[in-house]
Amino acid sequence: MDHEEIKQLLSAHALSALDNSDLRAVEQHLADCVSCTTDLAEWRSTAASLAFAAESLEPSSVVRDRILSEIREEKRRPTNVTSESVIAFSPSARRNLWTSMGSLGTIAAALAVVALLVSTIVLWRKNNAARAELSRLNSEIQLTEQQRQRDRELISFLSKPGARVAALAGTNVAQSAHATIAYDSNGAAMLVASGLPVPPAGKAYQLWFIVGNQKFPGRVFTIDASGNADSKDQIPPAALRGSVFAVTLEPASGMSSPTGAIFLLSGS
Amino acid sequence: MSTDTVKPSDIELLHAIARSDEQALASLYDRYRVILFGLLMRILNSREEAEDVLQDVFLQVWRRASDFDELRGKPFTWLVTLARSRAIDRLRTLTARSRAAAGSANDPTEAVSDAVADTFRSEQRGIVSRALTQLPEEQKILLILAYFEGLTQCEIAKRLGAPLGTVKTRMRSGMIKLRELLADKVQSFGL
Repeated sequence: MDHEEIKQLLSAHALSALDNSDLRAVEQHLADCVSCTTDLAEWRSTAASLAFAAESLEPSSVVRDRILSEIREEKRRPTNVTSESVIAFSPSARRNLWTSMGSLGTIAAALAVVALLVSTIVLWRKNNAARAELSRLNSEIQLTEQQRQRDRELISFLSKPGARVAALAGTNVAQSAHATIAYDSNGAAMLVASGLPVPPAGKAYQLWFIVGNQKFPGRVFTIDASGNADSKDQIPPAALRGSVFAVTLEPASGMSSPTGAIFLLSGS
Repeated sequence: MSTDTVKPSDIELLHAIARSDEQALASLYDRYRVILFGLLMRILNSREEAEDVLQDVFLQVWRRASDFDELRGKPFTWLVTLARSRAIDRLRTLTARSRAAAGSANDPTEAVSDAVADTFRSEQRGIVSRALTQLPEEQKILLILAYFEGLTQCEIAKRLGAPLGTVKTRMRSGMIKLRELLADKVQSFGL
């Protein structure tokens, strides 16, 4: 497709209405065409105006609370062990020390100061080592706590009437990864995964429910620094029986059908 | 004494959110929750799903505010596009579920309390609704099916039993006409 043909498709792209072949051609062209990228931004602005055609509705006040609570939790999660400096080693103080060495008494005093500094540095290093160990232990405790929380949620899921569970094993691209999915008779599901590699920027993992040739998309999820994840999902009724579960690497916005490598797969 | 205060623009709020300012996220949420929730309800027809997606959207905004590029569009467009995209994804995961059943579980909606914002939304809604009524019916239906139901051109052609070429032409004509009718009339809350 040439530039003019692509331009004809931009308004439909702003509505996300392009089918796969047109979509691929447009996205390839957009990667190199500033003019079309600018045009698309204008079409998206027009499309976004359609949001005003929907009736204005107020969400429950709990949504705001949940969002703020979640972001506070996210801000809290990285354990910031304060790195207060134990010794303030000012260069100007050092200069004054050396320039004042004019007598034996001064030398003796200087030696005493040096000895004190050496012992302080030794203590400082030990202190740093202790802090690093403390930081490591804190991280371990936090990870253990997160794992316990996941386990509790999983157990809660499994205690529901008619609950079922399936194991997902890592494929050859993630051999140390594994996961468990628990789901109830209404299709409410919870995936708990471990050992997944950190995805590249702009990518995330997505769960799929596969029945025969049909692939139903689940949610996109991210992992923590240790490769663990938990994600709640909803299995479509058509996939409740005899479904195979898979996790693939996809664009972070998620896909309607799988495009990336399979990282986790359940048995049939 | 005047109580007027200068409200931060959307862009200023996004910059503050990128610096992990949770109050800025709360302000952006307060500014757009009603219009976004209305959009999500229109697409998903389920209060529970719409609230869940609304939460996801603002968590994404919190995590990705630094990705926002003001040269590529307005914050309002970015937010609406993100919300709609998430809702369409969710809708596709629910394809087998009866949307009618989900709709019947809707709770009554709470009243919109902010009179100024309500007036603004009413005005904008009026502008967009009037523009839609000026579109030929065969163009309007295509925009509605694509935007609110997330259907592709092929899916629309099948749904309406119309040739794909006709759908493509009409959709483009509809968007061109809509853009002309809305030119500079629709604004976001915080320019």
